[in-house]
Amino acid sequence: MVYRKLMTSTAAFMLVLGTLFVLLGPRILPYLGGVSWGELAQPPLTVRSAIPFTRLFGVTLLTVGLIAWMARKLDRPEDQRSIGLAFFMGGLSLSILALIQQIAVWATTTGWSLVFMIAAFPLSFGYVFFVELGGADFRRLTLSQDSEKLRQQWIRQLSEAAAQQERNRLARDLHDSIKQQIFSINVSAAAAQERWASDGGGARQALEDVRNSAREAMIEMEAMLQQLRPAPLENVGLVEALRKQAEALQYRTGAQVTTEFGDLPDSDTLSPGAQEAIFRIAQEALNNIARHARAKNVHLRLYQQHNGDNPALWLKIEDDGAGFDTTESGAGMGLANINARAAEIGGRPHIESAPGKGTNLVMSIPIISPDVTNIRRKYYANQAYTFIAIMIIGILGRHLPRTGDKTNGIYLFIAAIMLLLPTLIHVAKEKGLLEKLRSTNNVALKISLGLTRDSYQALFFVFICFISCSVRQAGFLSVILSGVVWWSHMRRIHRVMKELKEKLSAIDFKQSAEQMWRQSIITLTMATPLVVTLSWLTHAAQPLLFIPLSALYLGYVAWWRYGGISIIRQGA
Amino acid sequence: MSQIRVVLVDDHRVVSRGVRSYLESFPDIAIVGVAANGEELLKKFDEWLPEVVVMDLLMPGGMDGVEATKRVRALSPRMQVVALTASVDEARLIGALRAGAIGYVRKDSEPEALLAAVRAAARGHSVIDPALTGDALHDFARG
Repeated sequence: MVYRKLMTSTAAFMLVLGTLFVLLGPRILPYLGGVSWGELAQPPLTVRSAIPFTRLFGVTLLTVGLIAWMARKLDRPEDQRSIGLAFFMGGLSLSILALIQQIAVWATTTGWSLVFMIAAFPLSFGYVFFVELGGADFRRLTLSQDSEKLRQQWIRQLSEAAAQQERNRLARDLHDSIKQQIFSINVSAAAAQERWASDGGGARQALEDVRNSAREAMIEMEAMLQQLRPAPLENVGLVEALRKQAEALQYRTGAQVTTEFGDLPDSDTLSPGAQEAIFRIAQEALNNIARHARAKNVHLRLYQQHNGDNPALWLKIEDDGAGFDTTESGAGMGLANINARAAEIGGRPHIESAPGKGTNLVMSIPIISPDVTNIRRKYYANQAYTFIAIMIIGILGRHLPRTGDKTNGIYLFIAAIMLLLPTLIHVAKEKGLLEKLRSTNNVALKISLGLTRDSYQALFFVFICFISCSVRQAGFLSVILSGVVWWSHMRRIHRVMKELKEKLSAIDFKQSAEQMWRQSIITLTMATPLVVTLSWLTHAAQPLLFIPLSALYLGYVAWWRYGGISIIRQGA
Repeated sequence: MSQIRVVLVDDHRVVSRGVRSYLESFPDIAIVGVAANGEELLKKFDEWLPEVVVMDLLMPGGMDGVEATKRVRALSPRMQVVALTASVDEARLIGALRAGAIGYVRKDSEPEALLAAVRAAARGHSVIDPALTGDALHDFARG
């Protein structure tokens, strides 16, 4: 309910403020403080020229208010989280811009009130988003209570349906396997009887067949009993159980089934129930192969991939059978079961298949690493530092005696150092860590990578805006500086994207590219009108650099994003 | 006496192996081919030229036994199909008969029942598993 109240109050606030801006224009703009109602009969040039821009700002606020009003009734936690994140990010951009503008326009006295007013948005939305709703970036790790309840309910329903399905499957399996073996024993025994007198060699061969069939029936029976028993809870049991299932598949279908087991991680480093889920997923996949694939070769691998200190557990099951069209809606309950089981332990199954091309199931099971907590803390600290640094710079700026360009130069130098310092320290301290993160397949660590990337992004963004606004006398120099910083930033993003594309599965890559794409859109749409206004008010063109540079960045991320999708299509 | 040319179609290797060994013990029967699925049977049909096909009805992926029966009967109406299945599903029996199978033997029958069905089929006679001849056949007769 906190969400709904917040959205309603936001809508009310935005609509009122937006209407005021549209109707009254620059009269309420605090940056031009000191303009009285009387003066507005003959407004000075600066105020007159600001009229269209304050109206534009008003329209933006009205739009945001309308969006808040329309979105206040969303009741799915995922939707609330998305909107919460959008408003949080938008509010963050707005308040940073307001801060920078206030710093840039030293002379005004009342501007700080607008800064604090706008800063209230990320604060309140940040509270709702991170505390009440659990935070979108961490939704896989910490679900909010509501969604946790829904998830439990869903799992319960699913397991009831699964129990019925399991019974049907066992009946079918009994038909498919044991009955065939017993029939075969019967006919082979009959053949031995027939050949007894006339064909001793043939009779012996038939008896050999009887023994073979009996042995195979035994193994099939064992595999089936294993499915009825509670699933293995320890690694040793898991490996043994998977081996038996593979062996049974070999007898049932005649396919060559090979298994490969690496060193497995300690049970307590995996999610609870991971062994059971892995066993059931593998079993489902092997059953699908037995029933549909007509494969000649099947290969099952379970192994840990070491990426520095952060390994993930991988399950791979490949066959060279008939395959299927993954885009077909009737791809079956089997796949739904696999996805549901995987979701329970944070696994990410990826199935590649095409008619005639065999089927490839790959799943990574994350091993939750303590590094995530650490990095999350650093991320918040970094963001907080940025805010505090800008506040201090702003306050210093207002109280420093303005004795000319020299003081301004020193002041700008100090401010730039203050803004760049944490980034430089981070880069130096976390260089090794970043390398590790880039090469990871672990979902939890990938999230950390995203956070680290975001925090750098935010710092660079603030730095550029600061330079653009503050060094407005420097003109050309600031354009060059911004360009250089942006260029290095883009190169870094490019490197990260490339690494992600190489190291992650197609689905994971697509998701992280989409996340970047969404963030870029939010930032760009929310900040653009304000940057335009800012440029006008500060009489400086530099802030406008934000627009082409952001568009460039957006286009770049989009290119990767659509590139990611076409990779998936090719792979399927 | 000429031998009955028989082809076995079953995706279970163990079954094909056992049935082959059993039927081959009788001098009047020759197993001319073994296929693991319907597609394979159709591909090799001209080479094998069977008189009787012993067909499993439930086969994984692609063409199942009923469809394969329909296709081979269309290719050669004089050739007979004996359905051999683990299934007790009556709808499947009717499906197989409609598709043109002349005999129907379940995998829990005695091997002699299969032998009798193959011999009968070669003469153009029908042998249906007695466990299934009640309502199902009435349904079939009613069409």
